[in-house]
Amino acid sequence: MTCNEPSGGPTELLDVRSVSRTYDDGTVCALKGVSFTIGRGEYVAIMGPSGSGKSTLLNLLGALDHPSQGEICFEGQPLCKMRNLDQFRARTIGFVFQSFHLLPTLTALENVQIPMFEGPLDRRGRIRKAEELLCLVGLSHRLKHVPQKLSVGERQRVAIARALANDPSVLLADEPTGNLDSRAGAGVLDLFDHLHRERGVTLVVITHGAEVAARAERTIWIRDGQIDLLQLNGGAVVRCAV
Amino acid sequence: MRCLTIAAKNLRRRPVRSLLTAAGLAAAVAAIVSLVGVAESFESSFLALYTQRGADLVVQRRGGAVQLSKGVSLKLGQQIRELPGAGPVIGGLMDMVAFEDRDLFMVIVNGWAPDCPVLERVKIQDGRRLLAGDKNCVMLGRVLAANLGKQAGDTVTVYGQPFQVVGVFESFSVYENGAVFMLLEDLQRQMDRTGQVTGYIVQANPPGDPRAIDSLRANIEALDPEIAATPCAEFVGSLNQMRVTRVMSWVISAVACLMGAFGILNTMAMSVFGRRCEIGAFRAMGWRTWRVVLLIVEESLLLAGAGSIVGVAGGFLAIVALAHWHVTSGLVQGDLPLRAVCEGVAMAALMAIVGAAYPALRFARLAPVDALREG
Repeated sequence: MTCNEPSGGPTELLDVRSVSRTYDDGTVCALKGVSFTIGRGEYVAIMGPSGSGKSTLLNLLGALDHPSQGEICFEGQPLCKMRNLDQFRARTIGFVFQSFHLLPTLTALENVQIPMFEGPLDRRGRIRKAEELLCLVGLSHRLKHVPQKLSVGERQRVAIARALANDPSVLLADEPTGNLDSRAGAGVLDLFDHLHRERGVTLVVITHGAEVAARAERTIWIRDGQIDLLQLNGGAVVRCAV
Repeated sequence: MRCLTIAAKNLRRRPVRSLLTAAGLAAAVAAIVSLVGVAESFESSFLALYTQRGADLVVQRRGGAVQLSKGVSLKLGQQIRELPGAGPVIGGLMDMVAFEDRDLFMVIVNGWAPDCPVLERVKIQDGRRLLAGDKNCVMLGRVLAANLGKQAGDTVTVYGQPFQVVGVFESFSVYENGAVFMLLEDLQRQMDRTGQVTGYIVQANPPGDPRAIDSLRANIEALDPEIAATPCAEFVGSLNQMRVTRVMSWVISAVACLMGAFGILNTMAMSVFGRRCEIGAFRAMGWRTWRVVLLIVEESLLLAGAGSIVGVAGGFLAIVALAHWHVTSGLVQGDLPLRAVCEGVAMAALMAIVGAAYPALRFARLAPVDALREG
């Protein structure tokens, strides 16, 4: 299935072209011919019921997985033709996981440095950068704290700081507020707003929550592995034909 | 923060498991260090018996092993002395006896001529040296005297006969400190080897000169086709007893290594499989496969490092204990050869790398999305 988008979007960063993803020798179809684009600096929410294919789509966008059919292009270059996807992920993508995936024995400052091992910075540079990022997410007073000593919201902030470690072009967040209470969730969304507005970070956020999607510029609705709706915030809605 | 910091902190997450694995490795390293150390010291001490006396060649009957059952004639010694390029020649008879009531089963008995420089060079601690005309008299090495509880003037039973202890001596050699010295004639009589010695040690003239040694060697072997004149290091290396000791120490060490490798494999496998999701997240953040492998191998090497430190200390203590145990004190010197330490540490590192290789490679092949999903 393909879907034409509302026109007038920003410069194209990610181009998803007729992408399908099947498992178990094709018997399970998680995504069926999905097409859309994400512009540079855009804030996009992906919504849909459980099992609709949202996480599969995010994995494909982040080059963690390969499409069974179709292709995904980053700045016009197909991911499948990239020789070093590890390097692509390290330099271009920042992941924010629902369950944070922070190392329990490392401090916040150390956790943020993990992706920087694949970057150009030396040890001192990594420490300085991690301090800046933790400062950015409002945790300058928690540098030496291990995750266990942080609140759940603070842990997610550390994870966001870590995702920004290599100055990625795109931040992919898989239900970033799913494990947070409403106050902490709102704090994370405020931070996303800030990153989007002030730093021009492209954001793709998977969510079940309408309040999360409301912060985005555009929402892609997925159902049964297909795009169901494309909605500009407060604007046009395109129902895609199946 | 360095990658090593992550590895070290990962090990601290499961302290009991890490400690037990390090303990297993330490046991393997201790086994290697002590066994190889004893074998090494055994060999170097034996070699020192010859080299410290300035010997260049050992002359014995052909056959490889120490020829305790076959001897060479005293006449041959005189013939060697007369050869061009021959320096001092020392002939001696050797046997092994047991003092079963004291649990001493491999005590060396040496028979020397009264004017032999060996007798002159040992340091007398108690009593006197053996002299020409002494009959049924012995000198005891310091360690053996202590183990038997004997001193000068006492009587000791050797070959079922009473021998008077005329002196207690100290030698540079651990073997001689655990040995019995008697006059050559006495030992020839006891062994029924009149006119024979076990072999000769011969110094070339000039000493240590390779050409002089080669020439002397050829001249000695030309005297009798059944005689072999062998450079000391080659002789000691070819002794069956040394070979057996070396092989045994390595066989036991190999078993210890195998157990250590399984221990570390188990630990690393459990550790890695329990952190699949975490490693999937690392990969999602762009960590290349080799960096994940490096992290796992570093964890393993840290365990090996801790195991090595404890193991070397344990191995050294075992060697010292053997050197002080009356049963082995006449055979084990009590020092820690550098080679044994190097081999123990190298084996620990090898065990660590081999043990970590499987889980590391397993994860190197896992796609990030699979690791994240399975976690």
